[in-house]
Amino acid sequence: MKGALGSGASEEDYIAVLNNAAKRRDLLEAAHEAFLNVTDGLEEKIIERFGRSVDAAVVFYLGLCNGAGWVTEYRGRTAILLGMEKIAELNWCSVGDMRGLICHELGHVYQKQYGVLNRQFCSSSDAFLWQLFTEGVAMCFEQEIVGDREFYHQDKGGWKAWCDGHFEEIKADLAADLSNMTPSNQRYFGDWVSYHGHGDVGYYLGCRFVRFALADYDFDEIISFGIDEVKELFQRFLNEAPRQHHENN
Amino acid sequence: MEIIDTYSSALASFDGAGFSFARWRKYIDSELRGCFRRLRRT
Repeated sequence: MKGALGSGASEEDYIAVLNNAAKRRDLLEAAHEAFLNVTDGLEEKIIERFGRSVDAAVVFYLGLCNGAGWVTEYRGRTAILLGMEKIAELNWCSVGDMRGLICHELGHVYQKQYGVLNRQFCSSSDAFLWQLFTEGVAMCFEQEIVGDREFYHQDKGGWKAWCDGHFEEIKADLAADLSNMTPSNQRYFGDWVSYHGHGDVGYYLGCRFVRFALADYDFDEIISFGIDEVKELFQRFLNEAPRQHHENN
Repeated sequence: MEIIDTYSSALASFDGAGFSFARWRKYIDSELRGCFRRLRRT
C-alpha cells in the first residue's frame, strides 16, 4: 500500500487509523449520508454532461487508510474505493465534498476508459508532469459534473483564494522542481505535503493546466494525449499570459 | 455504474472497544476480497 502510511505499514498502523475513525462515528454517519445523496442520480448527470457513462463500481469502504479515494480493480472491474475513515479525518463529509471526491475519482476512470490514464516513464520528471496532467483532467471532470468551473473540493480555509493569488509562483516552482522531484520530497500532491503551508496545490495547478488545454482541444481529445503532447502543452502553459485563464472561463 | 455500500458491514467490524485486525479482515474478506489482495501487493 502506497501513500501516507508507506509501503512498510503494519497491522498496528492500520488499526490506529481505523480506531481514530471509530471515535468519530458522527462523521462516519455524515459521510455515509452524503454518499447516498451524491450517488443517487449521479450516472444520469454524467451521461447528460459527457454523453456516456463510466463503467465502474463506486464502493463506500472502510480501511483504505492512505487516501479518501483510490481507483483500483475489484473483482475484475474498475472500482473507486472511498475510504470512509480518511473522509472523516479530512472532514469531507458534506454533500459538496463527497460529490467532489466521487466525481474526481470518476474523472480518472473516465480517462482510463475512454483515453489513456496510466503510462510508464523513464524519468520522474515525466511521471510528475503526467500526474499533474491526469489530476487536472480529474479536477475538470469533477467541475463539469458539479457545474462550477471554479469548484475545488479542496477549498477549505481560503485554499483556492491563496492558490489564485499565487498561481504564477506555483507554476514556476513546479516547473523548476520537476527535474529533482521524488515521491518523498514533492510538495504538490497530497494533503500531507506542504507548499508554503498549503496541501494539494498540484491539483489546483493541474486543473488550471487542463483548462488551458481546453481552450484549444476537446476534453475527449485531451484524455488520449501522450507525454510529448503534454510536455508541449506545458511549455505553452508556462509561457501563457497571466490573464488568459479568465478569458478561457 | 454500480454503487456498493459496505457501511453496515464495516460498522459490524467494530467490537465496542475499537477494531481488531481480525474483525476488520473478516469485513474485508466478505466485502472486498480481491481488492484487499491487490492493495496488500502494491
